[in-house]
Order: sequence, then structure tokens, then C-alpha cells
Amino acid sequence: MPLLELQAALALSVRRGPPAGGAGAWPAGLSAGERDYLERVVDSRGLAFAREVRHSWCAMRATRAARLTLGLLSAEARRRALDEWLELGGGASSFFESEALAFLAFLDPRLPAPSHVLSVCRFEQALFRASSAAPSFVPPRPAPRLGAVRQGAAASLVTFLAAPASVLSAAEVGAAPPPPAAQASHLLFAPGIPSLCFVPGAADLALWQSCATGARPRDLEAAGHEAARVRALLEVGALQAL
Amino acid sequence: MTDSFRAPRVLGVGFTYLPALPRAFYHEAPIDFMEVAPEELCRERRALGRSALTLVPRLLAEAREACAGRPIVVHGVELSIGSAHGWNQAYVDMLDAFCAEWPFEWHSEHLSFQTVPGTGGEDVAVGMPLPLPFTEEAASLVGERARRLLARYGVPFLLENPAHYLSEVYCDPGLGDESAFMARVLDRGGCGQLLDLHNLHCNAVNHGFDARSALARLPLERVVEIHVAGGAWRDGFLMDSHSDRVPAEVWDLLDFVLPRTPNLAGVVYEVLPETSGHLDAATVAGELERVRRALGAAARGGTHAVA
Repeated sequence: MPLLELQAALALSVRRGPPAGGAGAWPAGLSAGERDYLERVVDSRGLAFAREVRHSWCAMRATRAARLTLGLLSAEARRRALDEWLELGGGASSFFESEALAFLAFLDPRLPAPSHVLSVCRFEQALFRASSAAPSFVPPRPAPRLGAVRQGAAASLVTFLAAPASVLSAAEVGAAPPPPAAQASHLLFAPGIPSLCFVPGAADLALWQSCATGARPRDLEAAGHEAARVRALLEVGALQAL
Repeated sequence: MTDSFRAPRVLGVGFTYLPALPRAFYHEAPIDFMEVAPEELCRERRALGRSALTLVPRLLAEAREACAGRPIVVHGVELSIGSAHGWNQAYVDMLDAFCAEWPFEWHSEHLSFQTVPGTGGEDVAVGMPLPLPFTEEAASLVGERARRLLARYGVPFLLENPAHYLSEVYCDPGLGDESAFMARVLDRGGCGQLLDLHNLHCNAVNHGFDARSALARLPLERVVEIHVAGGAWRDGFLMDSHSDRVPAEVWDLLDFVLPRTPNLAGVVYEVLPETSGHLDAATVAGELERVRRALGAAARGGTHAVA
């Protein structure tokens, strides 16, 4: 299948540049004419420009996908993160949410913990997960008896070191974030909440944390969690039945 | 090869559906039909290494409201019809669902490829569309797939001539150039052409050939739709960024080709959402009026009935 091999060789040259090893590195199934062509085209100005255009498109997609998180990184850290992501083949998806979730998941373990930028990265991930699930979310039919529950698949708790609005405003304009507050703030995201998130109270937080790996009703009751609160979080998809 | 080409009904002047534009613009603009990229109305979901495209009901409803009952045509980006290892089945599945929700007059794709197989056989996105080599193998592959699409949807399927920056495209000995390759694919596929005049202009400028000669060597009776657009210069290359007003050279090409396209059904002023934010409603309306004047002049010449 010369077409398959020709396309693979051309795509690789546009993504990564000419292969190391010269003419011997081209796929064996290509004819001498096809190899000669590849030798000519990989060294051409046109292919170099195509590579630049591809790089700028991929960088644009990734930048749009993680706009707030990148807004809190220094210019140097932002450039390094983008270069590393693009080197791994990132930025190639035309689908905004897919690109965003993949790039933010890539950034997450590379960010200092705890930090404002990590909070914002988790905020963006939580927002995409909840908004993606929201159109198809159907509140569960109330059951006469509660069963075992766990945290909702599209729900997330995001912890901020200062008031979320001030941190997000700084990220929006690339300004310095506020100093950490004495107490952390939280946002709980779930697909059934019209605004996709709310500020959880202490009881919501405790219940959410109790359900990290699943919890039985009698254990929740023994820990002092109210059945009405469990039902309320189930209703919006913050919790789900096991 | 049995010729399954059928010209669709005439629609007139079209414009790209851009979700970000206010609905009032679409309701008031001099537009006869809308060109919709269904991927814009989708979310991608990935599971077990496979991709699925799901139409988002809210985005679909907003698009239908903006289009205000006008006929639509579909202009896809994600099919990758020329990928040797297989086209994007997720796109086809999504188009099935889209067609059931919102029937279209015809649909189109770019004559290019944008995925290659990864080490595990999964689709790897190249990150930009690349031109197909001008070979018999590529013409047969795309022709066979075009016939499947014609049978699947029962409406005309068009292939668009792409812009590209490669200084040379691999060519089978004796097969010819871009025009000859397009003609070969259209013949094999029994399909029509979406003639993008700005793409042709970019290629002519970047690769040093005469656009009118290239047009003269195309089977222009297969042209069902024309795109006009504007681009931008970068590093000595004219880019198909669909970001601007239509340049004079492309208007000249339109005036040249209209009398030669007897089965033309629509002309679309194409813009991209990522690059055209600076164009205001009056500018867009002006370009659409210019298309209508060109169609009117050609109609008065008795060459076709689009106007």
C-alpha cells in the first residue's frame, strides 16, 4: 500500500520534520520515485512553511483550550508547556473540549501543588466535565430507600487558595493572583446545577468527601450525614448511585 | 464507470453558518441558503481509543433558528476522505444523525487527508489537512468512497479542491496535475466539485501556475458549488485563512468561470470563525451582494440560472 506509507511519511515530516537517518529511514514499501519525491519535498521551503502553519494552528487550539490556566503561567513556563504538549502531538484535535480536557490533564501533574494555577487548571477541567455532561443529564428518579452512592462521574470539587472570583479575574487578564487567604474556598461542580457549580457548605463538603470511594446509607447515617442532603446531591449529579 | 452525477436544484447565494454571529444578521442578510459545518454543532467523546461525535441539541436548535428555514448544504471538515487507512467513521455516524434531524441539499468534503494510523492502529490527527498524491490508487480510493456517500445519503456529494503549501505533490507518471487528478476522482466517484476559487488562487500564486489554465482543464460541468474567500500573506505564502474580503483576482476568476459552469447551484462566501472576527455585518453583506451581481451578469449572458 504505497498510499498508506506515503501519507504516513508525509504526515510525520509535517509533524516532526525530516526523519533522522536520511533516505534509509523511509518506509520500505515506497518506490524509488516516491522516496526521491520525499527527499525533495522534506527539504523544501513549502514543507517548512506547512510545518510552521501546523505548529501555529496546534498552538492556537491548545492556547484557547486552557486559556485561564495559561493566563497564570509566566511567559517562559507557558512556552515550555506548549512546546512539550505540541511535541507529544497535542493541539491536533479540532474539537475544543477534547483538546481542552487532554491538555489540562497533561498540565495538571506538572503544576505546583497547592497553587493558584493548579486550582484554575482543576476549575477548567471541572467546568468542561460538568458542561459536557449537562445536556444529557437526567435527574435520577427519587427512590423510596437510598442505596450506596459515590461521587458523580461528571462532578468535581475544586479548592481555591483565595476567593475564586479574584483568582479567576487575575487569570482572565494574566495579572498577578491575590495572596492566599487564611481559609481555602471551594466550588462543587455537577452537571445538574443550572450554573454548573455552587459554593458547598461544610456539611456538603463532608458528605462529598465521605463518598470518594462509595458509601453505604448506614455508614453515611452513622457519620451524621442527612438523607435529605444525600438526595439533594444525587438530584444534581454531584453524587450518583453505585 | 457509470455516471451517477446529477445536478441539484439551484439555490443561489450562500454564507457560512457561524454560531457566534447574532441571529439578526442571518435574518436580514441577502442570503438564499446556508452552509453548515456539522462538526461545529458536535461534542467529541472518546472511549476505548475510539471517537464518537454527538450532536448537541442546543447548538443544533440555535443553528436552525439562525438559518430561519433557508435550505442548507453541509460542508464537512473531519471526514478525511483520502486517508488510506480509512475515513473517519465517527463523522459518518454523526452525519447520519444530522441528516435525520436536518436534511441537506448536498454535502461536501475536502479532497485531502488529515489522519494517519498510529502505532496501535488508532487514528492520529495530523493537525492540518494535507493534499493527496496525484495517483491512480488515491483516485480509486476516494472515488469508491464518494460513491458510498452518494448511495448513503441520496443527495449530491461534492469534493473541494484544497489549498496546500507543499512545493510539489507526488504524481503518478502520466497522470498530470491537480486539475487532472480532480477530474479523475470526479469521474471515478460520480460526484460533483466544490470549486474553491480562493484555494485555487492560493495554489496558483504559491506554486506558480496559471489559475485560468487550471480551470480550463477541469470538468466544469461537474461544478455544483463555488467558494469565494479572502486570505492573508505570511512569510511569502498566500494562506487560505478565509479571513478577509475576497481579493480582486478571485472576483476575476469568478466572473471567468461562471459562464462555464452550467450545473452550478450555489456560490458561498466562505469565512472561518477563528479568523474572521474582524469582519462586520456590512462588509459581509457587501461581499454577498457582489456575488449576487456576478451571478446576475452571468444569468443575463444566458449561461445558467443561478441568479
